[in-house]
Amino acid sequence: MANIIIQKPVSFGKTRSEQEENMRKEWGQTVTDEQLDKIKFLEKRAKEKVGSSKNFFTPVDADKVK
Amino acid sequence: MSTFPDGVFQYGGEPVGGARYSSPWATAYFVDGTNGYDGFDGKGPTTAKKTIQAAVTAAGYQDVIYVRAKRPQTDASDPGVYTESVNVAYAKDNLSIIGVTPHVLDPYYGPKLLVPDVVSEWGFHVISPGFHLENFTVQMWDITTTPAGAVFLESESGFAAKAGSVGASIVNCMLWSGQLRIDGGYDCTTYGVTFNNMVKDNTLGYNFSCPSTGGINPQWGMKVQNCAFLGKHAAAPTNTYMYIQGSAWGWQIRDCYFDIVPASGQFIYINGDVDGFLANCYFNSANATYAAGAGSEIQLGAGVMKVVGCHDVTGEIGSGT
Repeated sequence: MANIIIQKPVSFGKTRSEQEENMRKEWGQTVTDEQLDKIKFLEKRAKEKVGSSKNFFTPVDADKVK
Repeated sequence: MSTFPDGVFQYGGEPVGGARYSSPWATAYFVDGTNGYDGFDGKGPTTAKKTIQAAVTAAGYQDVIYVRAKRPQTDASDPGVYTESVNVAYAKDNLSIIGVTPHVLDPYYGPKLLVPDVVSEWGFHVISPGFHLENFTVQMWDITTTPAGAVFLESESGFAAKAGSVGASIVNCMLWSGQLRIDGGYDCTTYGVTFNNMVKDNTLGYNFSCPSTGGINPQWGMKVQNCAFLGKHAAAPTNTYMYIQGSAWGWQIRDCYFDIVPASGQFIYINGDVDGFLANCYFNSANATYAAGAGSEIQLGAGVMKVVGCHDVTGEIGSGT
């Protein structure tokens, strides 16, 4: 009898903020705390406006939020 | 609502624009120059690649590569460096390479790429569209031969096989004595980048080189924001900080600092029909005049380049074209 192992794909997070929070548990940071807050805000707005839950905002986008 | 000349256009806190991509298939890759191994798959921090190029080779389009800062040298005089030339092939479109800093968000303390001491070599040589580089120092100051520069966003007419200057973004990086070269193209962002001449002169700093004959078309939508162009230590560098040759439209140069005027160059040299604006910039000179032609420290070229809210050490340098 052969066993079939279905391996779950490796995922580090489907948004920049999820990846950032995972990265901070590992190696360090890639954006400031303030930029991370703003990226979360952008992700929330993107989900509300277009239903996209998988996206990747950069610090350039974050710094546009005032 | 516009807050110009701060320049941010927003409506109720919602910024213009959006995410770079929203691909559900994107994969994160990891590079650890100290503990990594190129034989690993690179898909987790504990199975990281050792070199950036190995991760780029393994990655597909729209993927993200995180690069860990290497451990410092034993005398702690300098962070460890990745010494390699990274080539990003055409099929790797919308690839992101992001440096991870251990404590503070400063590119000097993040990963450093030392351009190999080889003639005509580049640190990052990119021919794919949508390239994104973040939190990196690319250094050339302690090498003896003449590598070409730090980052080359290369394109060709028609963009069929080379499109590095389409939609690229270079963010929060330090280019230490190595130029950023952009060959025509469109919609490239240079944001929060320090062009540092302090030890060794750049050949140029920001080099948009697209001659009218044989140039890459179209050429528009370039943005340079929150950048610092630094001279040598208390002395003038040799070469021009921003060199723009071509006919390009929709150019934005804003919120930048220009250090001591170069000895054999200018703060900004524009040769061609370039339209756009130069806003909220500071020039460390007592005579930062601007004009369409040669003879001034800021040469704006033949196009309609608006000057808004810029200053030198004596005050506002005027607003006009």
